[in-house]
Amino acid sequence: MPLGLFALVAVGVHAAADVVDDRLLTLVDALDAWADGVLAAREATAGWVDRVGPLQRTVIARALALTWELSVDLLVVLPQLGYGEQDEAERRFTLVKETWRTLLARLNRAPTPMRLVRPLVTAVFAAGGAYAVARLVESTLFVALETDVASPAVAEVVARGLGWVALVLVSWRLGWRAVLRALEHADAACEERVKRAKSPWPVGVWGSVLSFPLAVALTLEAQSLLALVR
Amino acid sequence: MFRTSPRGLLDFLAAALCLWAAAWHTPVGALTRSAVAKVAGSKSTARPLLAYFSGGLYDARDVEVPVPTTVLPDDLPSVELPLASPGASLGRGAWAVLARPGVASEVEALRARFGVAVVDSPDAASALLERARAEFGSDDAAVLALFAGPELARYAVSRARGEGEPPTLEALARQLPPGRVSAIESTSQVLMFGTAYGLSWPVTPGTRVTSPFGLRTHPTLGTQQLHTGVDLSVPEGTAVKVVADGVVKRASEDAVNGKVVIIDHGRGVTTAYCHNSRLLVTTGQAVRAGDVISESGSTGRSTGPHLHYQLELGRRPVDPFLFRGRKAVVVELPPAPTAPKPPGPSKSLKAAFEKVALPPEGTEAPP
Repeated sequence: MPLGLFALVAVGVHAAADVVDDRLLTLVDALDAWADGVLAAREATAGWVDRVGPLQRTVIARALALTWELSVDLLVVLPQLGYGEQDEAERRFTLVKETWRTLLARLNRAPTPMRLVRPLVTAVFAAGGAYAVARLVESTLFVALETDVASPAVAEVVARGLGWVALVLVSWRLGWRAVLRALEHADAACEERVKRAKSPWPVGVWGSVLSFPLAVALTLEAQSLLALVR
Repeated sequence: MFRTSPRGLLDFLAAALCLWAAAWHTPVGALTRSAVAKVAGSKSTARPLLAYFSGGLYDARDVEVPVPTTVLPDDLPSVELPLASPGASLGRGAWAVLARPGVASEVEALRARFGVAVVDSPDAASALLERARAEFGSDDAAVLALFAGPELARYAVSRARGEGEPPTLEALARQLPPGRVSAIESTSQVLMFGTAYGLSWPVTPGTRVTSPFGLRTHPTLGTQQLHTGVDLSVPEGTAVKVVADGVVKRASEDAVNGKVVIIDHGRGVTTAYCHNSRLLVTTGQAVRAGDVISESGSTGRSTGPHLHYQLELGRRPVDPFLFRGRKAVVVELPPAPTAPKPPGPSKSLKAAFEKVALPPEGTEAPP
């Protein structure tokens, strides 16, 4: 289960990084044009103009997107592996019973950037991840069925139906758990800081700063989520 | 970890689906697969990490420039006319890729579907694509059908439209299942080449070339460098016309390129026009083929009035004459007192001449 949660959120983060990849390329192009202008102004540095060609710019942009994605994987997605579940018997003997209610109550009482941002971005990544999984299931099944088993029309209907099933299944069984785990992790990190008599506000700031723009970019692409009903 | 109830089974299924998707479609999955393969001593099937980003579908592809497949006469029509109709250009682009050894395609399936007898020339490829375009609704989908098969192309078009997107290759590629990378690459190359074959010329065709594409000793720096475009000898103030529809990506001035305009024609094709005396467009402006975008000059690092015309495919500079199918007219300028003698035609140009059965020395002497 923790691996499944990690995988779901990681797929969502990659979908988001794929969205910002193009924007990064535009940024790198603009920076390069500016640098060329600066270098070309002096005879001594003029020979360096065009040292960074179009292909290198593409590689730089993709490397930036990759670094960004792996950083978010490390800071935001990796804690999903800490997910644990108690059955009824275990829960009976637990001293501290963490539930949605207790976690949300603490969030309400002492909101911090980490407590606010982590569940939100995780929800967005989980939704994006569930959609990406459903799309993969659908296209893979279409190809598998259409080749030997069924006519293209039938294959498309069946694949679309099972794509829907995958979307619902992943969201229902894993989506909420990922958000709960993100909230739980944020809460524990903030509480730990409070115990050491320090302000919980700076906790997890890098993870929040890096993941928030990705979540916004993915949300702006969210119209594609409606595709399965069309 | 998983409970032994029906819900536990569903949890397991959902987790397995996510793991499958992450393992095959994320860089972190690729890293894990590579590590596992290393430990097991087997060969990893993971792609390079940067290949997991689809942005810039046409970028960073290993563009293998096609050999000229059609030779056009020297007395071409005026610059306002494109070299070939859009359909014919795409057919030539398709033929350039299909003619390569080892390229997997679904030509037979498409040929049988549309009742086309044989696909053995650019014109036949063009006719086949024409039929496919009528069925699938776009050039991109038609070419995708050529490499991924008609049913998969139809499915991708249907799903892309479902997402409210036009059936461009970018939108279609997102709908394809795993393992279709080569079909996407071939399609992107055909679309790039097709666009390049449809470009007209920025100044009067037949204008003398004072420096061809290829390695040369730089006239002012004196170092060996790749000349990434062709220098066309035109007097200052000559109208420079854009070679196809597009959007101005950059209209600015620097000390090397002078006043420069870069136009993005889509499908990974861009053209640049350098050393102008006056720019007539601004960044972000949409332009139509044949629009005057600048007046030529000698700004920036230049030894005299000329137009440096550059063509890039997939962000890689290529010789624009390879997509003209005609003979370049190159002149040897008298060397400047301090400048080294310019070299002869580039290797790629020589190869192009050989392919069209013209002698490598097919460059004409100055009048």
